[in-house]
Amino acid sequence: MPTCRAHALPKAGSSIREYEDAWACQEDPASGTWRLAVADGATESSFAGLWATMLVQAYAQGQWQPGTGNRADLEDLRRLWQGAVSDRPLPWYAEEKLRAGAYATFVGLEVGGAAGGGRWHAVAIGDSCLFHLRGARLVRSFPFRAEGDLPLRPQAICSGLGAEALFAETEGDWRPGDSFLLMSDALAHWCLGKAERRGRPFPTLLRLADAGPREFARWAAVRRRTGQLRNDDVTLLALKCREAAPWRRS
Amino acid sequence: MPYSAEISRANPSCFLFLIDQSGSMADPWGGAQGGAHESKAQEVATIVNNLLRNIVLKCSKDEGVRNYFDVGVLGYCDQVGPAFGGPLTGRQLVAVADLADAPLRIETRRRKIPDGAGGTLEQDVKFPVWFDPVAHGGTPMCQAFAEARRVLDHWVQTHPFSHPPIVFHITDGESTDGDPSLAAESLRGLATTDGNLMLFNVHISSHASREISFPAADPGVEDPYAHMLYEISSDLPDTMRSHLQLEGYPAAPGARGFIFNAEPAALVSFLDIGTRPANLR
Repeated sequence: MPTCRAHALPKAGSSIREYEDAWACQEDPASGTWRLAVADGATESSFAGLWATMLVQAYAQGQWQPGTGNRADLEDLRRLWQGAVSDRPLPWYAEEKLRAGAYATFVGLEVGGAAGGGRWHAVAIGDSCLFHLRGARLVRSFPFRAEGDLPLRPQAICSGLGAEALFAETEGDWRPGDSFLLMSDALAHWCLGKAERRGRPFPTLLRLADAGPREFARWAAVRRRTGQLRNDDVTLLALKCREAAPWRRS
Repeated sequence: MPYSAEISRANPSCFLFLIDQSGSMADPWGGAQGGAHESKAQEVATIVNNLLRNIVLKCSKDEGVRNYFDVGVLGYCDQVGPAFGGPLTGRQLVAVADLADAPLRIETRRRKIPDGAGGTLEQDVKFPVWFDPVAHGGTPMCQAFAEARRVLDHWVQTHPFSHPPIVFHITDGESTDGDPSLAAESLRGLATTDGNLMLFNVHISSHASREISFPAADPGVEDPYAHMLYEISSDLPDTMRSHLQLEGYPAAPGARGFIFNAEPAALVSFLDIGTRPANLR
């Protein structure tokens, strides 16, 4: 069966309580489908970490299916977010920030199939990214192919009722031995830039996915210090589809 | 690369507002379309209150306001000095969290805001007021630049690796203590390792004219002081131009930090403190 591993790091200088990315990964035991997602709450909005967490959990649990035109689910999530944040008296600036809503970029992946492989489907809004690997070779990056394509100001899902959310969608086939890496934008910048300079980022990330949190934190700290990795929250979520083992539990 | 230092609580940047409060500011503002307008002093108060509000909102997070910026306001008329009122009276620079909690009053105003679906809707918004209009006395612009330099010289010495300070000078341009060009040049000469201080001039003129924002050449407007204010404005670095272009400003190569008869409320968006979504307005 596939293995799912994740790393989460706050900005250097911030506490883990200030980490505003989110990730979730879950197998539907009935269908054997895996659903995983990464979201990145926008710094310039309030309660964005909560919003990012609500989005990835709802997606991984199959309660929200973006890109299908089922807007009601997203509206339900928005009402939940508003209920969670608007139950207390707030100073003027917090009230105004709440009125503007929280924002989060998002990438979600659904992987279905059996032992010999199957189909995958992904949705994204903004600059959280997915990389589909065969071994350590890149098969597809989504929604961006080059570092220069990553926007200065990404589109994001707003928690405001009725706000538009236009998702990019893609799909493909996977084989045993393939891996999927989902990440927030700072790591995606590093990854795409490194790949463009023939730096082979994927063996590094596949190895780091299985490493302990301290090793991942040390790796990120060195790259932040040397300016290779922007000082932002970092999230890496990896799903590895093993060669030999059966896809589903018997 | 200059102007790329991370703005964080450990390495804050700084905004200093330099406000012309002279007698000429009591004259009517020309505005963009001509016709009857409020006084220039009233327009300045609106601009400053809007900019301060946007700075606070930019730094506001779940737990409160993060001190990404130090903020100061110097007024000049008969003399030059700190212009904060209320609990901040007499203070030259304050952390943005202190600013957030100390407006003179909070008004409720009706504003058009994006509805998130491409339209707008009217809503009551909280509008803090830190400054009321002031207009009396002379316009010692040279002295004002010298005092700004004195205040910020200390700041750059204590924040040598930070994004350099940004000075918003808001005036009708009628200096009464001589040509301020040299004093402005001296102010722009202050620097951190990340670059030189940036001087933005917001020209509130009695002459009616089209709005001009960040021109790449002398805008050639009728007001005799516009040329001088354009000349003493800083060149915009590429990173700021990119952010301003995303806000809808042309900001062509060679653009300067000069604004004529326009409302620059969106100005603070060009400083990067983290992800700012494209659809956040």
